[in-house]
Amino acid sequence: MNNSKFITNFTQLPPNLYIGLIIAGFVFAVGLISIIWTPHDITVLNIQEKLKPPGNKLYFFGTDHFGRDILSMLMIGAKTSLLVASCATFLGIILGVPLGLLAASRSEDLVDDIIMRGNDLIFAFPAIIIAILITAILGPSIENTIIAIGIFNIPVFARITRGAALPIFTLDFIMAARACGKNSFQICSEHVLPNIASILIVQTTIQISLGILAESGLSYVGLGTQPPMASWGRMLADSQTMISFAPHLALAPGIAIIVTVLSINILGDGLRDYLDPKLKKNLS
Amino acid sequence: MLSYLRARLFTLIISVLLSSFTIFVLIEVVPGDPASFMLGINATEETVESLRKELGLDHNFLNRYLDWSIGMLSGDFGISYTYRVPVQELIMERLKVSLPLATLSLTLSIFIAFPVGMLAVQFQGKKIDHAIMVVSQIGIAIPNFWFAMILVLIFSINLQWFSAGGFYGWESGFLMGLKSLILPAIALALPQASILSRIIRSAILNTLMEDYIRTARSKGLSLRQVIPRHALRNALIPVLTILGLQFSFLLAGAIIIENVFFLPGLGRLIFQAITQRDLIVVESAVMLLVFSVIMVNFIVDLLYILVDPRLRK
Repeated sequence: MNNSKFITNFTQLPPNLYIGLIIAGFVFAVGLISIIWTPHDITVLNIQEKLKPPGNKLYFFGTDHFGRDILSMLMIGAKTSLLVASCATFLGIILGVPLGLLAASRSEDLVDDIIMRGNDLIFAFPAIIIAILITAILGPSIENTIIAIGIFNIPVFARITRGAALPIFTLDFIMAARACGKNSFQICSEHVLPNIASILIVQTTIQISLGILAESGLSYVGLGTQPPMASWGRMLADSQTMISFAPHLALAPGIAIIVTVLSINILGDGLRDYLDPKLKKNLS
Repeated sequence: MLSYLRARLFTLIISVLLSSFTIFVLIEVVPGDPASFMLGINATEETVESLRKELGLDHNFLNRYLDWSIGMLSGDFGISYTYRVPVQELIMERLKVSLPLATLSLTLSIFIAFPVGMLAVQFQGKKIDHAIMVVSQIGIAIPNFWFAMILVLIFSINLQWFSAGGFYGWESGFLMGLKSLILPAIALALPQASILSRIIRSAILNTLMEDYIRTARSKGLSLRQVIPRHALRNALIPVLTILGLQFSFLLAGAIIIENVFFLPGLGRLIFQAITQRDLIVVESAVMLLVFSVIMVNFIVDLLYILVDPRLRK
């Protein structure tokens, strides 16, 4: 894409792409900042300052029952959520996409059948229960949460890759590439992947937002992120017994999750409209 | 059609066999010996060994797998390590909560999603449609357990219409049982209804582009007449797929909601069994869930044929 074309396209970007990008980018930036700086140290308990309501001069969103700063915890929670969800999605991509390509390139033999039936099998398992089982086997930690969520991303990417790649494999330029002596790996990486990239990018945003929800759920039942590391799901679990007298403890992380997931979904819709205008026309 | 059925039945059996084997292997690798877990740290080696024998843990892997799978086929799911009662009794007890909860929330979600989805189609591109799309987008982004907490805050703590958790049991009357399931069902139904209404909207919009719809319109039928009579039926295939998936999700996925409301459902049974290393309960309950997913998918495939006569060939 040359520069001038890029700029003309830039002015025509769908508005949901802008909105999604700005909000999701903000959450991402907050998560990044939390690595080097937070307003307060959340590993230090400060009982005298406990359960301060929001709007406090020192603690903008108030404090929890240990006197920890909610804003700082939200910032670190953003990092946790995005880290877990992105890594889990990455796991799904690096294993699922090659599997899907392999299945599509061997669509007429047993390889395809085995891969796709294997996929169906994983889909039949109740994801949340298996995730709980995996964290029980491996022990609750951030890495194991990534694995537990990532495993269910593999069949998603395998299936969507295969579905998108199958029609590409029937096209003439694939035959031409084959005639030139290119092997399957070259054909997949040079010709098929670029043609299905837009679908994969949109699916990536969907899986990241699902991953954020899954991480918060696992942390909520105590199997995701472990203290002293903060996570939105854990904050919600801690807040549950105090919801009647300190509802701000439950509202803040909940709204953080909703805004983040919503912005990534909007970003995904925007990307779809931008990358594949045909799809949008079909839908409306 | 018969060969299709035969092929479908064959994959059904293969999937059940494969999944049961996978579950068994998965549970095998869970660290922690159930026998020493049950007896605690002060148990002598002999008592652990005799309990292992009693539980049948001293047999080799393949024998135990065969025992378990053949037992399940005859309705014997084994004896729970911790509760010392037949696993099927435990599961049945929990299903009395999980099954009505799943049915209730699926029904709620259908009753919300169908009218909303159809409304969006009728006002496609107008303000109502946009509003529905925005609200459903938010609905998808809300974690159901957070929504459940907010429902508790509003309806249990502030208005005191419902209790904040627990299950009265069906013995205390149908209405009392139902009352303790309403908030959890609403919490579960919200994201489901949001997804479903979007699927219904796009499925109907897709069928509206078909030739037979144009024919129906050219006969003079209005959009309001065409949608329920012609478009809806043909849009049902993707909708059925999602409904099938959602029902199986609701059976197991309610685990977190069950935690919020302290409901004695199937999800919590599995959760507790995992933490207590009551592995026989875990594998039997998970197998039952996987089996129900496979069966629901099978039934959905059969329903396709009922809904779409073109597939009967």
